[in-house]
Amino acid sequence: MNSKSNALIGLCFAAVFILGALQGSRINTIKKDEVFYRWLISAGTQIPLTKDERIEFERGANSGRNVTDPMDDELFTAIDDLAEGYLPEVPIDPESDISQITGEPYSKLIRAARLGSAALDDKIWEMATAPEFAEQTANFHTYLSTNRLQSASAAFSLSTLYQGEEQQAQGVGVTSMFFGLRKVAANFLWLQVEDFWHEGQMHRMVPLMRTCVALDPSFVDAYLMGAWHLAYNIPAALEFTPEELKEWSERRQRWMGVREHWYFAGVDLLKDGAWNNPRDFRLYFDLGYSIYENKLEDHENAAIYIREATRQWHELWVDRMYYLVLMRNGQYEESIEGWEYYMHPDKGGFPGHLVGTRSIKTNKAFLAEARSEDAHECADAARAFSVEAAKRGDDAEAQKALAAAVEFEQLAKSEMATARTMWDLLLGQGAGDTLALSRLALIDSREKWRNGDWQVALGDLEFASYEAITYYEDLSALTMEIKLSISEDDPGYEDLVFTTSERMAIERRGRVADRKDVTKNRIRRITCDYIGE
Amino acid sequence: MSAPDSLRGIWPIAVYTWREGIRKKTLIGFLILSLLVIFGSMFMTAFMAGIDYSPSGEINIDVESKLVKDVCVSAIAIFGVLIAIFTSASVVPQELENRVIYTVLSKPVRRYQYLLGKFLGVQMIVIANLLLMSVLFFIALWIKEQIIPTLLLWSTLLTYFQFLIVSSFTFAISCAATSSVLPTIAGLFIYITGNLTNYLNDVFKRSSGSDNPFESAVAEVAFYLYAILPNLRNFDLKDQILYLAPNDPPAGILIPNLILYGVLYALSGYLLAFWLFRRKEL
Repeated sequence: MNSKSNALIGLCFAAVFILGALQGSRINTIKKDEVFYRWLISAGTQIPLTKDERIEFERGANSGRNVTDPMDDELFTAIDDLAEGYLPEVPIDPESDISQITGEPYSKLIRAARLGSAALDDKIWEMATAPEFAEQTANFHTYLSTNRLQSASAAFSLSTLYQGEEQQAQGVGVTSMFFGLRKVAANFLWLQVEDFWHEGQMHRMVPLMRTCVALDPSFVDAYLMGAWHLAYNIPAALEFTPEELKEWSERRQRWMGVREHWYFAGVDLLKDGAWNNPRDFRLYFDLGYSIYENKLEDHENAAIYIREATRQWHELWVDRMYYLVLMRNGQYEESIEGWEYYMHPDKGGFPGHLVGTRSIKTNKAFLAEARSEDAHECADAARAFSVEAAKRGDDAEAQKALAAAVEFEQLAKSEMATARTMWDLLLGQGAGDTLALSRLALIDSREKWRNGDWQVALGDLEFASYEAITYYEDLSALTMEIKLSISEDDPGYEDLVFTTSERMAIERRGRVADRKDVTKNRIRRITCDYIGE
Repeated sequence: MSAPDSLRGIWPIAVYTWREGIRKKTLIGFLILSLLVIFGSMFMTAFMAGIDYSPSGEINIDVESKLVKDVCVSAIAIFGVLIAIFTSASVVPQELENRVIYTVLSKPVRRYQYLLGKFLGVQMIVIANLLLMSVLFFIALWIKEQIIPTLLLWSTLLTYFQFLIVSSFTFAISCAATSSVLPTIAGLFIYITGNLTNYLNDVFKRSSGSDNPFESAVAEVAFYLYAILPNLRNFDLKDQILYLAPNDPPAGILIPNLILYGVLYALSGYLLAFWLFRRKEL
């Protein structure tokens, strides 16, 4: 009897133990689904950003992981197509759900992943576990285990962390990761990073920062501070690379000096952070504003990333910075719209917001200036076309083009008058508004130059560059443009003087004259048949 | 003996075990150490003075609260499991040593009642310590951030189920041992092994498909061990609860599953203890 009871208890133990193991297997399945779900959320937010940025998919390019034949795009596209029929209607936000490349709304999956609402997250989770997506789920795990997903980070599996350990987690033994203490290890390493920073040992900070985020991929502050060190503090100790010594980077689509390499190291770190924490606005904001805008002066990409920051839960100042970057990127209409929304009393905005009120006027002035510039270009092109047509003997076309040129000139004048009114208004409202002062000087100089009075135009510009430093670059560029346009036949040529810095700038330009052009597409508000797109 | 009668003996034994347990100097020592670490975590950030600026501002404040959370969660996990191991390992062998068990079992108390009472007593000690540490963690967090994240309650609950598994198997080993040394070492071993179970999966992945028969055999063994051994790393979900957004569907699904997982392994641990204790010559 006793041995029977013992056997029965033993059997019960075995049965319950096996049930525990089965439950463990169920948990493993859920965790595998979780990896897929988190990849969907990350890919849904990051892949469209990469495409909008017009760069190749590059995650992991610096990690030392050699991904051959990456399948990220293909896999995501397949899932995206299936999701169209699976997901419920997802509202389209006209501000941020339109692709910069195609001008079409993003797919449902992308919109749902970026929206981050509880109901849609539940639906994406349901999707990640649904039998309809079984093939894609299986493909995902196959690609993940065979190292064919560039987007798969160390966060997905400890094995991948070991593979990349030599490159990523230098100086950290595997023991640091035991017993769920990885996060604590990351914190203490971070304290060490701070010590190195205070001691000025920046070369020792970089591997430790990488280790920190490898150990704790959700350590958002480490990404933020790390990127700040990489893009601000380390380059501050380095010299600027002369333009002619910069090298072209196909991956970055940019001429790169020593400092640029560090700026992009910061970009990579923040992008990695955004993949691991796709719902944290701070990563997108720092990427857009702190690096693309402030360091690389890439307003277009800055706008793309800050727009993403506004899509996630964010603080109010992010909106304001977004409108500012839109203005710097020449997207004046969008910036005005944004500020109007921000100040709209019926939409919970801030009526009479001082910065908003001023920014709307500034944007309107810039917009009028841009329209005037476009109209001028059209007028010049029409005039040139008219001369050509007259030479060909096509008088009708010549007359038509000439009439168009006059019309465009009138439009240019009227737009410039609008701009001038706006700047005058700003100058009147804010005594010593240096921006308004410099823009007015710029407008005056341009007009005087057009009228052939280049010496007065240069005088105005010189005055403006002392009085209003805000747009010094624009003032300086126009000064050069005017000086270089003067030929020996122009009256007063003998008085033309180039300063030392201007001569050096001309020399520099000459040395890099054969460079690949990286200028971004200009937004054209006024189009005409006489100018191609 | 009716059902209520059978349960009648359990509660006094549990209370007695609890009273005895909370007086133990080792446990009090662990508790004081854990409290020192939890409060000390607030001062660790003093090393970080200096950098107060980043482009998005207020970085250090976030790092400080993260450090407090990470250190406190780890301190609770480590000291909590030590308390669970030392308590589970000592309750039965100690009574064997001081012969109290013979007096108790000479009363109308069945072995299963005695064992269940002891096990419940151990769990009461573990829960009380966990609650005390958690409350102090909440206070530390309140001092730092002026918020009490309610999700932390889930985190505490999951930590308890991790302790429950370790505690039940340690308790089982203590039922076969004559002193508390072996079960304590075994408990630590269970905790370490339970945290390394993922590595067995890595071993399996790396060794499977190898031409070397030894490596293939290792892969097989690693696979089966991975399949049956409790994986304490599964409870790392507590970190996700701490840092992820409130709405996280996988966490919502995993929490009840992890609770069931903990209960099943703990039950099997208790059945093993009962099986071993029944066979013990007393």
